[in-house]
Amino acid sequence: MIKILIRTATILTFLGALFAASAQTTIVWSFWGDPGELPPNYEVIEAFHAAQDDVRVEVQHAPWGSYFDRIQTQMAGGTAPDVMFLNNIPSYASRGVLMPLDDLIARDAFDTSTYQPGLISVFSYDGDVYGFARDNDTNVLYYNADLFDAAGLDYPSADWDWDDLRSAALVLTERDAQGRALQYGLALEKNRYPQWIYQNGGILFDDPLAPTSFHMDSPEAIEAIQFIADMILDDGSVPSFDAMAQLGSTTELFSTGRVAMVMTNAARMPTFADADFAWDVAPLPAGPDGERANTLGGAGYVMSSTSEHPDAAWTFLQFLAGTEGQSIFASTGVAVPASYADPDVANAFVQACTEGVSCDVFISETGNGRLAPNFPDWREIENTIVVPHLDLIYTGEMSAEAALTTMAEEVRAFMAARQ
Amino acid sequence: MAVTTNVTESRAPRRRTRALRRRTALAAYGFLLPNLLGFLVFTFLPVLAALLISFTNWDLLRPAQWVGIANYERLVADTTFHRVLRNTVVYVLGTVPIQMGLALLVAMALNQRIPGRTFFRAAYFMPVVASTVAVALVWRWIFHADFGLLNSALYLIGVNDPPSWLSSTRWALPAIIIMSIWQQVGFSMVLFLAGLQSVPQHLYEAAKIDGATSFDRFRHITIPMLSSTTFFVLVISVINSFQVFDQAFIMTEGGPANATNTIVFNIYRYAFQFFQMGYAAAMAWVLFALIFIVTVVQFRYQRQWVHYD
Repeated sequence: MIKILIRTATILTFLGALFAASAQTTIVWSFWGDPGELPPNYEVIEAFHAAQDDVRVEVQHAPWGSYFDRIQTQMAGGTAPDVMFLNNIPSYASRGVLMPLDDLIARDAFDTSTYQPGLISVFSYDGDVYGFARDNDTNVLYYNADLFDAAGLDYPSADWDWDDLRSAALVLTERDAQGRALQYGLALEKNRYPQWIYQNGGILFDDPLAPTSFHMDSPEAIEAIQFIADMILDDGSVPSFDAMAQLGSTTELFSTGRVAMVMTNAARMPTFADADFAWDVAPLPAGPDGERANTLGGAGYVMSSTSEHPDAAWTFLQFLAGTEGQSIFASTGVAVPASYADPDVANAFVQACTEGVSCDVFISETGNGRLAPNFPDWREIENTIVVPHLDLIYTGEMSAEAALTTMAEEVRAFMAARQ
Repeated sequence: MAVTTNVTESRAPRRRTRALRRRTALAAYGFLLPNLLGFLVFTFLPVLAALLISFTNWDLLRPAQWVGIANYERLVADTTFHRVLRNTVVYVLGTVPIQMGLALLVAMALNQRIPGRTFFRAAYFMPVVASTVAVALVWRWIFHADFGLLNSALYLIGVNDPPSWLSSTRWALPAIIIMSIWQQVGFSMVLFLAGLQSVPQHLYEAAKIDGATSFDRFRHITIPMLSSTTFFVLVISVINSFQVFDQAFIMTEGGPANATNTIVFNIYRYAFQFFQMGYAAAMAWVLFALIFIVTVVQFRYQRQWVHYD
């Protein structure tokens, strides 16, 4: 009798376990990344699994090169992963493949106030929030302290403006007998022009997310672009963008000591940590009138509109975008957290950051982030109209005024045709 | 009388020949079938689908809508596309003749009994098998305006103001043409070598006895005997050159200012960066038509200069 009871109990326990297991929901989370970038992703899954029993996360990983083809194919077939790491949110949101989150955020009172407000906008379309940025692509001014010492210059400080930057860059440039630069003063990244225009008090569009007018031919914008071109062409203190691409990138130039300053993001720190010279970071210099602006944007997490388990996906998304998930990514010390106003998260970043580096600069600069254009037609406008005209300015074939004037005409014609 | 007998006698064998021919044809089709199926599924149907897509506004994600010839009308007015067309034609005209001329010269040199012949043949063929990505990255350094190998060499021979190559709207396309020539010579060279080796030696010997100079022999024996090879190399090279993509993609991303943007790179951008499959498909069809016409013209005129014997 007892035997039977034990047997029944065993069977019941076993069935119960089975039942419990089947009550678990499995969702798919997709992301890209090089092998070196992946550990925090798996750390997040472990922490999430440890924190609750209802939802299990399965991974779909692909390298950057093939990630988007695959995701787009899945979207077209209605089998997109439940939670996706994605960029260019408006392009997808406008096509109805992403899940609007406002109702869920309101229902569970998910706290979005720690996020850089601009980053919430980057992940919004037509008034709805579609996701949360993982990190912000905050730029800072890295400088090689040894080269500054050798030139007898003061290190870049928080009260630098454009003129300080330009004159220091000129002093730090060294040439051979033929006039070829052996060492440049400053290296820039080509796609950062919006922050220069903002620092000079200009704008690109009236509304970067839902534009009705284009303003890159304003005096402020013209002056900003001409300023960059002058440093490349007249001063020779900044390598031309094409020449730099041929050598590798800003990273190679800086870590080999061939450029004294570089404006770039936090992802470079591990590479620079191995450099055999002293370096630190400073805020981006202010524009002539003291205006500060930084880059805003980065990839983040969204949900598929065709997910079969929206509640489970939302549970995981909240974890990813909440204090715990953000802290795990911030503690890599290479991704400036998007919820930078959450003290735990900000602290996780600063603690993990390269020793001896003023990492709080990344946090404070994130607050200066200003929205760059981000709407469905922007990639086409930027690649087919804006960049070709900027190229002509940077190669010295046209003045900023002439090129930006024709650029503006073409962009306006494009916008009129699309309306 | 004799004629009638002949006719009646030949009727039966003819029927047998016909049956045999049918069987041979069936066998041939059987052997062709796997390849034909592959062509049908992976080439012909997609090409047909692309034609249909080119009349829609398909964006990969939403259902396509029929827009008639709107995409083609847009192409006619699109100044970037005109630029891209011109770049591609310049690329084809700049690459093919020089590449083929060099390949023929190299093939003739390596057809002689010179020491190290095998090594040189392998060396010239190496760029063909090397990955375009790796090759393009190396050439990016070679073309660097200040520290590149090419300009350093130009400085040494006294050129004080050498072009800045990939950073210059004027020199970027020539730079890509130079690299492509270097990369493609090996392939054409191998074909020319095979062609040269099938030219019967007795023709040269006979010509020599008749007192022909080496130039005469080249002009009147080598060139005509190689014409079928030359034709093949020409058709293949032209088609490949029209489809240039990797070089522009890796070395310059089509820049500066669209100076190196090509048709296929532009198709890629519209299809996979701007999500405009319909417009990209229309461009792809213009490219197809262009290649088709050029190839048909080449086949039409081959009769005047190609000898198959």
